[in-house]
This record gives sequence, C-alpha cells and structure tokens, in this order.
Amino acid sequence: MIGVRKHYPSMRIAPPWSAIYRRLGFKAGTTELREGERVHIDRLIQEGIDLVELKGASLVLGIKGLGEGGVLLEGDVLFPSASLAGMLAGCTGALIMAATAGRGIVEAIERSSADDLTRAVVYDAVGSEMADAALDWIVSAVGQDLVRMALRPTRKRFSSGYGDLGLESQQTIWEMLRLEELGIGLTPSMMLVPGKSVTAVAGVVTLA
Amino acid sequence: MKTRDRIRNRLSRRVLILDGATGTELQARGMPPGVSPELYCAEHPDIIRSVHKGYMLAGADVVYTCTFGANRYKLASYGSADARELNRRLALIAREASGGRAMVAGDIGPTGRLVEPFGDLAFEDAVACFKEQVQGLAQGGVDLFVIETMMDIQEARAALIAVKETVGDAFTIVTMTYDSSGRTLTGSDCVSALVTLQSLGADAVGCNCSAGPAEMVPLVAAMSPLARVPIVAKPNAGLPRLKGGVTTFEMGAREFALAGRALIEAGASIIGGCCGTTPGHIEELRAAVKGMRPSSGGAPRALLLSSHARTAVLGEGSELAVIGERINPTGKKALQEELRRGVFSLVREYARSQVAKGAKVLDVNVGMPNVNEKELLREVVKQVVLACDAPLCIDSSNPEALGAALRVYPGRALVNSISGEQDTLDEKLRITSFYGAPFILLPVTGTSLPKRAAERLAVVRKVVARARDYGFGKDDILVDALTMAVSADAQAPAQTLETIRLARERLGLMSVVGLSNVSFGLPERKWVNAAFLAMASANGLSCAIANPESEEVMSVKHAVDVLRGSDRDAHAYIAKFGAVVPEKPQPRTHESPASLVARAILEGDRERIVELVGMALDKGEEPGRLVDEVMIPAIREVGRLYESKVYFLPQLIASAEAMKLAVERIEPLLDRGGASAATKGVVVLATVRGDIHDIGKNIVGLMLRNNGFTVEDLGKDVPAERIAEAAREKGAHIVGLSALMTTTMAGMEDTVRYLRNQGLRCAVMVGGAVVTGDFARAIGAAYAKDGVEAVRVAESIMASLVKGTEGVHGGSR
Repeated sequence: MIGVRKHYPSMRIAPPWSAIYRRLGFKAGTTELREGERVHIDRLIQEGIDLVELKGASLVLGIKGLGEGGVLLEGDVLFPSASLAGMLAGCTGALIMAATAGRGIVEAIERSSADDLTRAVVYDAVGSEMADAALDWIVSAVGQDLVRMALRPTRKRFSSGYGDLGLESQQTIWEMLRLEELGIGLTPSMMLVPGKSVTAVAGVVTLA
Repeated sequence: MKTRDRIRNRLSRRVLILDGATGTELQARGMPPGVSPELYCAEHPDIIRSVHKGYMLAGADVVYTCTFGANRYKLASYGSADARELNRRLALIAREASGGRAMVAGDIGPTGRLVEPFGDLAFEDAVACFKEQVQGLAQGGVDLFVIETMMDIQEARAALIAVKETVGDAFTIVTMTYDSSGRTLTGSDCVSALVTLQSLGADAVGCNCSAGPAEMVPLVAAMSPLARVPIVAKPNAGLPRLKGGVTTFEMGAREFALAGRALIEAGASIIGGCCGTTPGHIEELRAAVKGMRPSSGGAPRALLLSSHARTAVLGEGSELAVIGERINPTGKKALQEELRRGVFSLVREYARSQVAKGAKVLDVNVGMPNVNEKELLREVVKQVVLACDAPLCIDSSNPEALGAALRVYPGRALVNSISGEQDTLDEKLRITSFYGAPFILLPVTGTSLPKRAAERLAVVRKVVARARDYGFGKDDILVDALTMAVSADAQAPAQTLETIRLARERLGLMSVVGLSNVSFGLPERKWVNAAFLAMASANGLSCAIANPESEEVMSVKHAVDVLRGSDRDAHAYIAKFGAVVPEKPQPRTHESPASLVARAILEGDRERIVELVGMALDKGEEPGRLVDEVMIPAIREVGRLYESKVYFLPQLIASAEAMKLAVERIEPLLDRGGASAATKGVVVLATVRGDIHDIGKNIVGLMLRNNGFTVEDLGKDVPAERIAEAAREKGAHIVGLSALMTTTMAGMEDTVRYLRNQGLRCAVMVGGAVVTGDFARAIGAAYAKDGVEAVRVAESIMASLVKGTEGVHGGSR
C-alpha cells in the first residue's frame, strides 16, 4: 500500500460523543446539567452529526531522509520541520492524511452564529471532533493494510500549522492527496476550506 | 460428491479445522518487512510450502493459499499487475504442498480500498478485481474459497458476487474483522453482516483477526441465533501487545486451544487461527475440540433484513414493523424536482426523520415519468445508505432497476414487489433470488385486483410455488393483503383483513399492508389509518407501509406491541410515553419578578427571558436597577460557574444569549432614562488576516456586549489596515484579536505593529487556541483565555485608563 493514494468519499465512523463533550468543557463529576439540558445538548450534537459529511484521504510514503532540515519522503516531498523529523525518528515511512467534516456543518455553524450561538458552539465542537475522529479512523484503516507487511502507523501525529510545520506544508499535502477531488479547497493563506478540515502526518514503523 | 457437499457432510459430523497465521510464519522464516508476502512466496515457493505443510501436519483440514493480497490494487503498489497468474501459481503451490491431505482454500483479502457507497472504488471495479483473483485460484485447483479480514461489508459482497458469478457453486467462507466495539471500521456489526452474507450465498460466515478467542466468543454467540449457515471463528493468539515498538501475541498454544472450545460452545463450527498463531496452536486446537459436535443451527422462523449496520427481524414474536413510505415522489412536487435534478437532500432528510420517528425499514421508490429509473433508484439507494442505518425496501416494478439497486445495496433489502404476472414473475424471482432478497408478494395477475380474499390466496399459492423453485422459503415472503379505499368500497377492508388471516392460518405466511390506502378520500385520515392498523394487527399483520411521522399510527403500533407481547415488559412503550414531561418552571409565588429574571439568565432560558423582563418592568422594577443589580450579577455568577467548570460552554452561551435578549428588551428604556446606558468601553474585534476561525471571537463579542461594552465585530480574515481604520473610526479603547493557528498568530504581531505605526494607542487584547500569555506580553498585548476572562481583562484595561495608568496586562493606549 506504500505509495497508493486513497480517497474515502463517504466515511462512516462512530461519533465521538465523549470527545465532543470534553471539547465543550464538560468535566465529569464537576459539570452539572439541569433536567432536560442533557437531552437538549444531545439533540444539538445529533443534529450536528447529521450535518457532517466526512471525507478523507491517505497516502503512505517511505522516508528518504530525516534531519534538522526536516523530512524528505519518496517522490522528493520535503516537509521542512525539525519537530516533524523528531517525531518520525525510527520510522520507515510517513502516513499523510486529511479529513473534512464537509460544507454542511460549516454553513450551519455560520448560519447559527448570528442568532443561536449555543447551537453554533455545539456544531463547532461536533465538526472539529468528527474531523479528528476521521483521522483516527484513517490510521486504523491504513493500519489494517500495513500489518500484513509487518508495518503499522504510529499513534502520534503532527498537523500543519502547529509547531514548526508551517501552513505551507498544507499545500504540499493538498496537492499530494488531490484534496480538490474531495471538495476541499485551499485559501491563499493556506487554510483549508471548508473550515472543519484537517491534515496530519503520522509515522509508519516496522513491527519486527 | 461435489466439494461443497463433502464439506457440508463433514460439518454435520465434526468441527472443521482451518490453518493458522501465514504472515507471522513467513516473517519467522525470514520474510523482510515491507514486502508483498504474495510476491515473496512466488519467489520462495519452498518457504510457503513449508508453512502449508506445517499446518497440514498439525491437523488443519483446510490450508489457505498465500493470496490474501494478490489483487490488482495491492499488487500495483509493488509494480506487479498479473494478479490472475500469481493466484494460479500460489494455488498450485498450496495444492502441491497439501498432497490432497488437506483442502485448499483460495484466499481473498481486501483491496485496501473502500467500495461505494462508503469509498471511491466503484462496485463493479471491485467485482472485476476479485473475479481476476477467483479465476486464477480456480485455475490453480482450489477446493473452496475464503473471503477474509473484510472491514467493509460492501467489499465482502463484491468478492462473494465475484465467486458466484465466476465459479457458481463453490463452497465459500466469508469472515469479517471487528474491533473492540464489535463493529468493522465501516460500522457493520456481526449480526447484520451474517444476515447480509448468508442470504447472498455464503456457505459459512464469521470473524477473523483483530481479537483473541475470548473476545470472539460474544460475536459468535450473537450470530448463532440467526445463523442459517455454519459460523466461523479464526482469532488471533490473544490481543496484540506492543513491547519496545514490536507487536507480539502472547497467548500460548494450550491456552488458545482451550479458549477454542468456548467458541464451539458458543456456536462456531469452523475454527482456526489468525495473527500470532502457529502450527503448534492448531495442533492443540484440534486436540482440544476433538469429539465436539458443531452446532446444529435451527434459526427461528423470521424474515431477516439488514443494512450495513442494523438488522430488522420481522415475524411472529417481533414488533409490528412500520416501513416508512415517504421516499416516494408520488404527489411530492419538491421531491420530484430534486430527483430530476440529481439532488438528494430531501431523500436524506426523509430517511433520517422517518428513522427518528420509529420506522424500522424504509421503502424507496423513485417511479415517475421520464426518468432513468435504473440509474436513479441505484443512486437514491446509495444516498439513503449514507444517511441512515435502517434496512431498505426497494420498491419498483422494473426488474432491471430492482437488480441494479439490489446489487449495490450493502445489506439484505426487501423487494416491493413480485406479483403473479407471468411476464415478469420468473425474471423478478431470478434477480431477487440471486441477491438473496426476500419479497412482498402482490396477489394480482393482471390489471384487475382480486376483490375477495379467497381469490387473492389463489394467486399467493401460485407465486409461492414458483418461488420455491428459486430457493425461496416461507420466511422470505410477505403477502401484500391489498388495502383498498373504504370510501370506494365499504367491504374492501374486511377482505384485506381476511387475506391477512388466511395467509397466516392456511399458508403460514407473514403479511403487509399499504396502510394509508384505506383512508383515501376521507377527511382526518389519521384516525381511520390508526384504527385499521389495530384491526389488521389483531388478524396477524406483520408490518405496515405507513408514514411514521403520524403520531396516531405510531402510538397504535406501540400499543399493539405491548398487547401482543412483542414489547416485553412494555419497555419501548414506557420509553415513548412513560417519561415525565417536565413542565416549564412556573413562577414561584415567593419569587419576585427580578429574581425570576436572574434565574432565567442563570438557566439560559432564552424562551422566557423577554417575558420575565417585561413582567419585572410591569411590576415597577426600574430598568437601570434591573440591569445593574439583577442581570449583571447573574451573568457574573454564570461566569464564575463556568470558570469552576460547574457550567460548560453550551450553558455559558445559553445564559449569555438569554442576557443578550434581556438587554435588547431593556436598552430602549435605558436610553430614555439615562441610567446605566453609558458604554463601559468600545472594543473592535477581529480574527486576524489568514485565519478563518471565528467562533471563539463571537463568544468574546457576546460576553463583552452583555457586560456593557460596545463591540464592533469585523469578522474573520481581517487585514491590519481595516482593523486600524475601524479602531480610529470607532474611537476604540481596545482592539481584540483572535487566531487559532500557530502560523496565523504572526498576524497578531503584524497587526499590533501596524496599529502602533499608525499612531493608535488603544489597548490590544489577544486570544485563541494556541495563544499564550507569554506570546501576548511579547507583542505588547493583554491576554484572555476565554470569553469570561476577556470581560475581566477588558474591565481591567478600562479601569487603568480611568486611573490614567497605562500598560495594565501589557495593554497600552
């Protein structure tokens, strides 16, 4: 599966309810919900989940070099990030991936922001956590392919825009994964649109 | 005797033993990581031969060819394309190694791609890919086929169809792989997969990989009651452990074998080993289960339907099932227009809403003039699959359209319908039987409908007899009792009820009605529909095609389920009707109107806050006092509760929105009165250039407004020039900047620098997910971690301005 780009145009995942609650600041044992509040918030979360249309993409490439200058992958793809190189130390390959929660949830967040901010913040948490859970799903799916080759993806991953992995790397990933075919665009400032879209790089290690 | 019969015969006497892991055995013999095991084995035939022999000598009845990844998609990444020849060669090696002492199973694994509708691999491309593999394996002389480690039910279906369409009657095992939640990565549970695969023609169904034997026992036990084929379990040697970056399986052979006995007791008839197992595990397993007899099956009488992730059981003892009727363009102009344009938002909405209202199955009909029904039905089925988990009833009179939809449906759908019409009877039975779908039998033979129940029963008998030739049993048929409008024929309902009764009593068949036909032409049809549903149920009705959004129909359905015992202990009934509906809190007599306003803010009661403020004002509360002494303390208390995590974000925002509504109600009065009308300060807010995230900034804006600040929100991705212009124009005391990403934080520094270069001395406050206090100080700004803190920081800045002490929290003006 190394070097094979995959698109997942209609991903189905178990909604990460606990993570959504955590993102909203819920602390078990401390946060108190009045009668009916839980039902109401669960309903908003479910509405958000129904609006999400998850799509994703992945690509596994072998690592040609790691160092202070960053990471060089097969096909001479360069990620100039020492932090990413540090994370990939000991890896034989890198799993490049992306996921989006789709346009529907982002449009609903924007619509709600004007007159129902409670709904908007819940939808916002749903969109973020669903996109993040989609990356977990991609790691598992790719892992099932890699295991037969005695390889597995790492749990740790790194996203564009954090640390020294500049947002410019988002353009590299966007092109490599052909994200435009999944309806994911890139703004001149290298932000992915729709907003609830994420890219990440994980490592691939040898099992034995 | 054919191999298929030979295997079935053997399974009637004893447990069938499969081999163990291939990959780890190859690695133990020196296969390097990262290579294709299939190509490696083709180049090193002695190595795979020794693996096969090891398992055979250990007592495996079946050895798998090393062709798990020998499909065109996986081979492509190694630069190899001739999948057919590779499969043939590896099958020949396995046959040679077995020497006829063990059966050889042609092993088919996943392509690594997801198949439509869940993925980007077209269903027919997946079938074509697997056919290549099946042809090679058949040429190599395999005895049976095994489709294994599937995580996508649609891919498993494609592989099974490839076997059926290539070699016809070969014994075929299909096993899926389930994670710790009991579902595949695409969300299928083991029971739905069993129903789907056994009806599509798999000879044995089960699970392999991902779990050890103990974790597989519940899966086998869950499948067993509905299994009409032998159940397979091929677990790993326990759960994998990661030791120093190396995955290991630690369950020893003896322990594994003893756990294998539990799998047989739970209902498995075919067992073996997956990752981490060795010939030693298989040898011990064989010894441990010696003498154990496989489960004899005996699934209960029921009509089983499945989606990719849910099973519906219809029949005696089961609930009165409602088949949602709304995905049908007849009489729905908006739906017609959308379907013609290839837009499916209404389809998805109808699907979700009907399931939410309690539909167990969804009818899908796209029949209308001048459309390509075959293409449209196939597309709508895919859309509904993506929208919900309910099994489908595919509704078309066009055999070609039915076939196309059944082919891509990742479950066992009900077909609506097959009538006694000679022209299409055999064609529809052939198509429906190929996909293993049950059907609704429409007791008509020509253009006229038989009026009397006895006439209808005669047609039913004829169709059932013909269907038997295609392998259909009584549990695969629902008789449509033909519901006619009572307004047109007062005797019609009685004949429908009689048809239901006779079908059940004389032929042992389940029945269905198109419920709403009965009330056609009458006003307030819901009452007639609901009453007729109760009457039909009393005659033995199994399910009704109806609108689940009718409260009356669904209420009767729930009552019927209790009364005929399918809703044990009235659990579902109580869940629907038993919950105490909390009444809106009524004003407590001892609570003053002002106190009620405070409570509405604390509880985020956006529905009643305006009314309560009005009440307080009517009772003579002075507007300024209401704001300063009631509302602001209440919203501050909300902030305190939020900061101590007693409240979380939705509660904070609900309270803030309630406060906003209250302020909007009072503001005109404050202007007149003058009290508390003065702003606490002017804040210009923006998400900096390059960043498109603004929900956090919106929260800050709401909180600041609620606390008396005047806020000018410039939106997101705002250049420094525009922020400076607005700050100057509005006379801003504070500029608030938001950014979510590390990289866009730089935009904050640029903006601060630009403001200073422009001579603007207003304070700057920053915040956002990755922004820190240190960063804020470094760029000469104040920092607030959230909306509540932003109010405090803004007030602090304003206080310092009043005192004339600049630079509080790093801010300056």
